[in-house]
Amino acid sequence: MKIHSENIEALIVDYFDGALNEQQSKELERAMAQNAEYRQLFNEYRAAMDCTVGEDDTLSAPSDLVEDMKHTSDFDDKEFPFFDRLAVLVTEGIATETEQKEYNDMVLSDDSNLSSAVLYSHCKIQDDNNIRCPYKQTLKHSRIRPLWYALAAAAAVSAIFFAVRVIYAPAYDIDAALISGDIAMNFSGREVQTISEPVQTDEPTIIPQQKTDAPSRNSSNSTTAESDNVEPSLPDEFSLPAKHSLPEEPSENQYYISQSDIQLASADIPSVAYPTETMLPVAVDWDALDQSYGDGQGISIDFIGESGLANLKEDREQLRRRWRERQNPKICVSYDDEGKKDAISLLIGNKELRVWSR
Amino acid sequence: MNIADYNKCVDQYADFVYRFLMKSLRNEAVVKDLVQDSFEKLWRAHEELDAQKAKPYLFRCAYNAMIDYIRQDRRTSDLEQSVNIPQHSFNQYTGIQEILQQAMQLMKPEQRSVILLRDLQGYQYQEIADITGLSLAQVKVYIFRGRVFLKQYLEKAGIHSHSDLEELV
Repeated sequence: MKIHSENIEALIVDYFDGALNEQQSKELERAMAQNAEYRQLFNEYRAAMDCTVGEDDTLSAPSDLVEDMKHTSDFDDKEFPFFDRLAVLVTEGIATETEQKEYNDMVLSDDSNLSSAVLYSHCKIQDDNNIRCPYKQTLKHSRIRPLWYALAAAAAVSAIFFAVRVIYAPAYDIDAALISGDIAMNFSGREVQTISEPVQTDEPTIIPQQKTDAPSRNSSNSTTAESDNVEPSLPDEFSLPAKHSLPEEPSENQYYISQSDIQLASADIPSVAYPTETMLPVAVDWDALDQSYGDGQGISIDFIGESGLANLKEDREQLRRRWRERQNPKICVSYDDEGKKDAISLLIGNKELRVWSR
Repeated sequence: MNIADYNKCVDQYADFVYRFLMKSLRNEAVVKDLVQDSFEKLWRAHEELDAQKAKPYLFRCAYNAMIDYIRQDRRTSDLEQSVNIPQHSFNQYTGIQEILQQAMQLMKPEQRSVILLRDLQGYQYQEIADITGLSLAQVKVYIFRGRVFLKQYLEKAGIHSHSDLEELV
């Protein structure tokens, strides 16, 4: 056994504890005899060992203390009276038969013990089953949950996409307004009604025209008579006053402004497109217009803008031809400073008939 | 333990854990966090955990989360330092359990938890020691002192006789 400064203390402790065998003890003693430093360390440990309390079989605990200890093996807290310690054992349901009997005797023999016993019997916290975890379902896990997360994410992305599209595409508002009839209401209801009483004339001043769809107009260059067999649909809310109400078939002095007319007026905005087969439920009493806004020589409609009108050219020419004899009102589209469509008007002579505005 | 077992644990033990924490902390928002935290830990360990050991594991998570929270919360430490038994008339109370709940709030969190685990869940001392990480002797001492404290609190609250108790109960 090698003895050096690293293990000398451990060996000395083992020596006093009797953990070394005879040979090891002799080696340690020999090392201490040869080394003054080891010897001094040994003496220090021996002095410390002498100060510790050794076992003395001659001493015994007082009998009342031993009796006290017998009942407090589990709850060895001495600061409480013996009865309390017994009472807790009984309350906890871990008292032995002897302890239970002793406890009963103490309760019966003393009123104060009886009161304490009653209180101890009520010292247990009762569970309240009515209190339930309100978010139990959210704690659960499911394999399906990731699918819901994916669907929710897709819905959120779609919502953002449509929101951005609505915000950055104001031209669609005009489309919607045109198609939904907002413009038509202005055409038919408000402005036309302000026109003075129509003058009854024997001669028709405007040749009526009705368009059913773009291809038919483009392909056939049909005259009014050829296309009059299509009956226009006119919602109630767009109906004119009785004296201007539309006949079942347009008379010669009435003209149904078609969606194409508006398209022609808006054709300089490529993004705007309208279903040409849709008739705007608008009737313009040209006689009344002529009397109020014209110079008595009749009115017609002219169009502004040339771009994107190739396929409607013939139709436009036809309109021009039919209304050439009149002072042409124009369908005019105005724009604001930002280039957004601001208003659509009929220009009749030197007067403007606003039919739609933003 | 699979997903079904885990969800079964939620059904069976969520109310227990919730009540255990509510009676300890009496703070709905904090309890919600701790309940979710406890079940989150159970979920993380569910693949390695035996279903039979889920309940004590869950309570151990809840207990540790609660102790961590209390240690971080200085207000609680202030409360612990100012433990004293107020003088009340039992006529102020609506029931003996309410008085006991008030007394519980004056206990140290560890002691309160030990009492609650014993009374609400009926755990054995060794099980409580496993859950709380306390020694068996500590658990017994906590329970003994807790019972005596509750009894003393009832006395201080003006309950001395069987008739007083009957009036409350």
